[in-house]
Amino acid sequence: MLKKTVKVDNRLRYRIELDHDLCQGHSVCIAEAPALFSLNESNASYDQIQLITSEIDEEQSEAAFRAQKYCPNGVIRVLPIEDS
Amino acid sequence: MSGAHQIPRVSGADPSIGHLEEFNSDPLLFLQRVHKECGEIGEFDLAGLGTILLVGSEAHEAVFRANEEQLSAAQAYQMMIPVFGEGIQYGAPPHIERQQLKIQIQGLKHDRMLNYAGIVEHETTLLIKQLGKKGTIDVNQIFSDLTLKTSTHCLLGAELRSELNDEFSTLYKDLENGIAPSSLSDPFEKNERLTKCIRARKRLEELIGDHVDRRRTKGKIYEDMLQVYMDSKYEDGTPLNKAEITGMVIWFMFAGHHTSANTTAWTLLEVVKNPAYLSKLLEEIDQVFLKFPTVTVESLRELLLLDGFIRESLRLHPPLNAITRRVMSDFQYKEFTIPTGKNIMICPYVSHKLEKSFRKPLSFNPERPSPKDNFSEIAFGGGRHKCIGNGFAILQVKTILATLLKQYTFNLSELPEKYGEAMPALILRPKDPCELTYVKKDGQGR
Repeated sequence: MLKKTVKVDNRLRYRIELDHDLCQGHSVCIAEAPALFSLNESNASYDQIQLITSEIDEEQSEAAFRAQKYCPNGVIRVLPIEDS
Repeated sequence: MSGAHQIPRVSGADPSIGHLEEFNSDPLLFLQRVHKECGEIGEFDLAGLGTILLVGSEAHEAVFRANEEQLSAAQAYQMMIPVFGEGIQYGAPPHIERQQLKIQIQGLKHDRMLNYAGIVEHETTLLIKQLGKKGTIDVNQIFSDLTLKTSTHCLLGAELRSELNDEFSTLYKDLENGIAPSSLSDPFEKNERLTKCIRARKRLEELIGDHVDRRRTKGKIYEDMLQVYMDSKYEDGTPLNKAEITGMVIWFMFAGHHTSANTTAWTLLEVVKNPAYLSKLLEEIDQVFLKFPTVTVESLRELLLLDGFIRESLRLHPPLNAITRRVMSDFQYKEFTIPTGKNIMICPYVSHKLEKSFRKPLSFNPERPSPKDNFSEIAFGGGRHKCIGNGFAILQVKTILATLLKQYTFNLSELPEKYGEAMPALILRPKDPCELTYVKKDGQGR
């Protein structure tokens, strides 16, 4: 089935996914996109990165893509939201 | 029925010691044979320790996502206890190891990295002053010395770096030599190697302990890892004692020194052996230095082809090749059950050459696209035990090579086929001697 990307007010929407199993809390994403990621101090081996919001619009996507690109563990994925 | 399939066993086991001798004499050749004969999963015997080699991204993901209660790194790496010391990392109870790991990562966060790039560039510039206009270098020797200085400077600060002498290097070498392929099957085997390693650790504790005392007396705050260790407290409020601080230093150095030195050596060797990409690489470096006069995290990000060279060198020459876990409760992988008490081993050297993961896997291609998954390229391991210094390692190698390649042209001093591989102390590096000639570029002479 053909999928269509979702647009709100004619702007693309994106979803951010974070693989918590592989996140070690390096915090590069926070430096790149402080409005989207925060640090959740935990009792686990690593402080975990937390998503402040998992759905973003085009305006915030540039910072989100930078976070994806520079995450040393490659645990962030930014995907266009599609209508199924 | 699940788990009904027999795990294939590799041929050639000796009735008393299994495959121990073959593994110890050339681990990589042996593990390649296991894969060739058995495929994705194959069992071998290290003097009674049943070990299962798992190959490929699917298998890596299964292992790296398993928790410590099922697949234990601590049990598999008992050989590190004499090196790091009792009470450190795998020599500590799991809840302490967890807190120590968290302390290590404090010093490797992004804000700290911003400081490290300048330090590595400074150390490389000091090396350039020694190199002069032309000559010959042994890449193993020169990058081992340089990364000892860069790591010490970033880790322990400028003061201890300036006091770095032959004693420190010798002690550190004694520590590294404490580990050999045979340590996997017999971590506490009594031999001269291990005795020297324990003695070196004790002496390092004195040296680093004195330095900590001096720093505490001065009361000045520094921007290095040592300060992080000195300021950190466990969850119950107890600070790290001097033995623990020393253990943390050795842990960090051990994980990052020779792995980075060897990766720098391999990458420079590949730059020289692949002249088709050279002009593009040098143009990239020149452009970046034109835009950013000094090395920063930002400038390093623009060195995309150099990044490709480093990653491709790590793919073909991964430093660590016996990533091991102990099975603590029966582990199911596809139709196979791996029983409690066995070891599981992952070998990047084998997995990085799979055709299903990499097109033309044996060819060096610095423009190769990154794999879409997180488990095909595993030079730094994966999951909760992935090397936390991976960002620092890349920063270090990139800074050193960009700084050197901006000023020098390097060439092979032997025929290309003379440059082979060696793996002492379980870390893969270019075979000795590994010499390159160098000449300073026009306009760069002193």
